[in-house]
Amino acid sequence: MPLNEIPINSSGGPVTVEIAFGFAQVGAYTLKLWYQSGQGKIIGEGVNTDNKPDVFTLPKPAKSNIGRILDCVATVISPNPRPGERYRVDMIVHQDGEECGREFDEGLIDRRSVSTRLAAILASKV
Amino acid sequence: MKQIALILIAGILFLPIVRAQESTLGNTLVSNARLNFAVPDAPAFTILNYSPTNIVRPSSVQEVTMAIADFVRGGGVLPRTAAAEFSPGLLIGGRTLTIRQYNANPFWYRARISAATRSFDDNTGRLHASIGVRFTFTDEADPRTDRAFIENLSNLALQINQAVARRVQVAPPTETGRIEGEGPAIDALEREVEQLRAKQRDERWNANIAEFAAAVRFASPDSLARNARADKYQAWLAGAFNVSTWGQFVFNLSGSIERSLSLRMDSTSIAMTSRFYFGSNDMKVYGEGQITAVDQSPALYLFSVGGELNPLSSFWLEFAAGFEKRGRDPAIIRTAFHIRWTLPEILLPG
Repeated sequence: MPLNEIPINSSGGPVTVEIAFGFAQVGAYTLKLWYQSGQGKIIGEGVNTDNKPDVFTLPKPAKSNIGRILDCVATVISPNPRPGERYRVDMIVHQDGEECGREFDEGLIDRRSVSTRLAAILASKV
Repeated sequence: MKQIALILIAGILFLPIVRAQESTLGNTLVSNARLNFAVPDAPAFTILNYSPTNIVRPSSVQEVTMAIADFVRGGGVLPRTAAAEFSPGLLIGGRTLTIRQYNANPFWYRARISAATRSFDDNTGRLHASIGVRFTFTDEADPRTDRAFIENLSNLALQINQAVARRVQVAPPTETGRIEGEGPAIDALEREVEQLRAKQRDERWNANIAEFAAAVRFASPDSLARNARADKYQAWLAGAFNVSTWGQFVFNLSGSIERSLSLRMDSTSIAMTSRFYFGSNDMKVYGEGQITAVDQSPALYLFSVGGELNPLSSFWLEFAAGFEKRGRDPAIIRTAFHIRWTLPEILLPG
């Protein structure tokens, strides 16, 4: 699927990105921010089972992120695989206490581990 | 008796086929069989059970489980009993349920609702149906709350993810979606995932679990369930306790009230059952004792030995033999043989 745009307020507060795994599955992720120059920087990495929040703040000011690409690679493993077992990974962008948008992938867990890539372009809210 | 003999013959004929398939297909089926926990005992299933024992065996929650049993009906092999159990918490809120939320409130996500039907009589189509609930106070077998297991699984997920990210995050993305085509390094890590899951199941098959369960049974004079009415209520307090790595002690205290021959809901009973399992997850034997106090009748004693065998993924063979004795009446020998099928745990491809 081609990339979607997530609108943010260029004059608003800090932009945060949250990674969430549904269906009570175990998940790990690497969140990378791609600059317009083509350079990328890992801004977050971890698992959803420790006590660290899976929320990361993008560089300030918010305006500087317009045109950048959020790129999350996530891997899901089911602790207890059953027929029909599903996964869901969400990459949610927040600003000033509100959700600006999200990218997600959902499907069947039909392998020992399932990896997916979520990505979106940050655009200026009109 | 004729049906029991038929099932025994079918079982004797069936087992060598299963064994032959296992040896032909190598370790896959053997590993698969090892992944399945013991026979689930949903309360709605147990209240329809006509064997003398009425034990509910605690088990860990899954989104949905199904079971069919008593594979002889009308001289054929249609199942006589079918049951399904589901966790509303996992089913309804599952999409946004994180593992942290599950761990913060496991009691609600482990709560389950079950429903079952049993054709009572092949000639009249008379039907029994039931619904039940169960609540789990503690469950040390639940993989999602097994901290060491989840930590190890998370470490493997992180290693796999880092390997995938190194491969794909080399240039800005042009599309999103599932990533296919892993390499040998990821295959090796996925094999570790499978080994870790198998180890967890092997070690936790007899873990401590405590549950409360309740069920109501409805009887209908025909197969269309017209004029169905409640004819039995039953509740259980059930606990399973591990004995080293090779045994499990299961204890049940249950009470019931049902319609007597006068059609009034006035026949009460209290039963205390204990069962001791020896063996491993896929093959075990047990000894069981049960005392049932029924109002205005002498106490009923049941002693039996039996076994559970999981020869093939999702199929369970159960057998039991023993005797029951009521007051001064002579003891009666009881035997039982059941084939049950449940939704299998799956051995996922790498």
